[in-house]
Amino acid sequence: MTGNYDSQEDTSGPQTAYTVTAVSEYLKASLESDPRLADLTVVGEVSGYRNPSSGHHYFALRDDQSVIRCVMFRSGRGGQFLGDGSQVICHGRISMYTARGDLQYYVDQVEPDGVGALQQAYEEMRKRLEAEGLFDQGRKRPLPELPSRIAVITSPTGAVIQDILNVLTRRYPLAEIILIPTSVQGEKAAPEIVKAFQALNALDDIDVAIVARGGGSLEDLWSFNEEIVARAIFASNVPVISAIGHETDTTIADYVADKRAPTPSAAAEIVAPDARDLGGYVAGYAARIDEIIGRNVRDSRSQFEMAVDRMNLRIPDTKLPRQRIDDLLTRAQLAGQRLVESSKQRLATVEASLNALGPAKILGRGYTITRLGDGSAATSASQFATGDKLGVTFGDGSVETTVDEVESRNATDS
Amino acid sequence: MTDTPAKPAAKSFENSFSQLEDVVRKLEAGGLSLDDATKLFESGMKLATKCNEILSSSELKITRLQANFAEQMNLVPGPEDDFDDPEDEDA
Repeated sequence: MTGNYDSQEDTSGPQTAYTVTAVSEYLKASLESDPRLADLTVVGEVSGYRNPSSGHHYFALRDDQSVIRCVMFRSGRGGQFLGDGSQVICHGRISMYTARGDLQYYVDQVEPDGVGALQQAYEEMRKRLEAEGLFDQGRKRPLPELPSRIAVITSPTGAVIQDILNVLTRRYPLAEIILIPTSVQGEKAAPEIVKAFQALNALDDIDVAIVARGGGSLEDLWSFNEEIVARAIFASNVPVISAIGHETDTTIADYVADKRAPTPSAAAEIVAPDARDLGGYVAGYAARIDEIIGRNVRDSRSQFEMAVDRMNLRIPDTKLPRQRIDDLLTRAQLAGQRLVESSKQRLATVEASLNALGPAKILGRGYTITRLGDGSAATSASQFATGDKLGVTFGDGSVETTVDEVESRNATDS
Repeated sequence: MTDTPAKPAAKSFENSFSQLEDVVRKLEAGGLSLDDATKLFESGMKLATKCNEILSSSELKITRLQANFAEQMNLVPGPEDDFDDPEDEDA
């Protein structure tokens, strides 16, 4: 057709009439020669969908202004996503269906349009797992205060593991990190993450786990919205901290995890305290002990002082026994006085008796007093010698005489 | 994984720290003779020193779960995975 038409181009004669087929074939060839129309992706809403017994799919893609007629043969992929009103992304080529004069989009693959369909599936599963209790606050396990062994499930390469290790090196170098490597993106990621959690459960002495992935598109993060991953986190033997994507991304994994961290670095901060704070607690305790012991010493001293004070205070308390002592003393004094009095009386009585028995009375009863020459009373015969003067006193007078003879009864006295 | 040596510093810190807490509790409860209180004070100060030593001398230990460990457990995906990369990246 081209040749014929070109040869007529510059003439002013009547135009050649072309057959319908010739024009249709020309249009078809023109469309098919454009590489952009031969490998074309189109997004739109499905309408007028038909799926007759031939197995081919007939529909139209539309937006609010335009419509393109579409066909996808039986061999095409993603036919399940077609349906009136569904938002899809199609791949295929534009050509002409000459038998009907229709410009058609020959689709070979259909995918649900990203956000809409994924979001729908996500919401559906989220509700189902929630109803099953996988997100219950009541089953969230507390994180260990001082974890010794921290498992990290993430990609072994890239920024995420480095961020986590950097934060822990700086803040909490007391732990051992067990890296369980896994891919975190693509079709393999979900089953690998599940296996990583199985490996985690096979390990002993792990205190807590972090599952982490850096930021990305919703599709990049999609593994963490997979049900098998949610169930693997749920089945973890140890508490799990999730840190998937950025703070604004919330995946199913985040709902199931015992604790959600906004970023991988934040997960590393949440998983353990800052060693500087621990140092602060230690210093606080040391200061407290110091204070208590200081107070104890002061208390002991003041207790001693109080004891002394009490003793001083108690001295007035001895008033009572003292009064008793005074009382006793007074009574003793009185008793003594009485004793003296009675003694005096008895003495007086004795004196009276003695007086009654005085020498004058004795002399009256026939006794005499023999006196030496000087008049003093003689008490022994040896006081006298022959020729000495001797006086004898009677009760009513005296006689003076001379010694004629001395006879001593005791020879040795002579 | 298999050649993990002694327990991480966190455990010994936890031990000393909880003993230190215990000492503080006992001292705070009171009712001790000055002699007993002094002994507790001395052990508490030793514990605090030990805690500080652990905090200042510890280094983060990093162990990478080896592919062969997971393989033994039949847990490892195919060999094309980046699991088997050399260790140099996880310093």
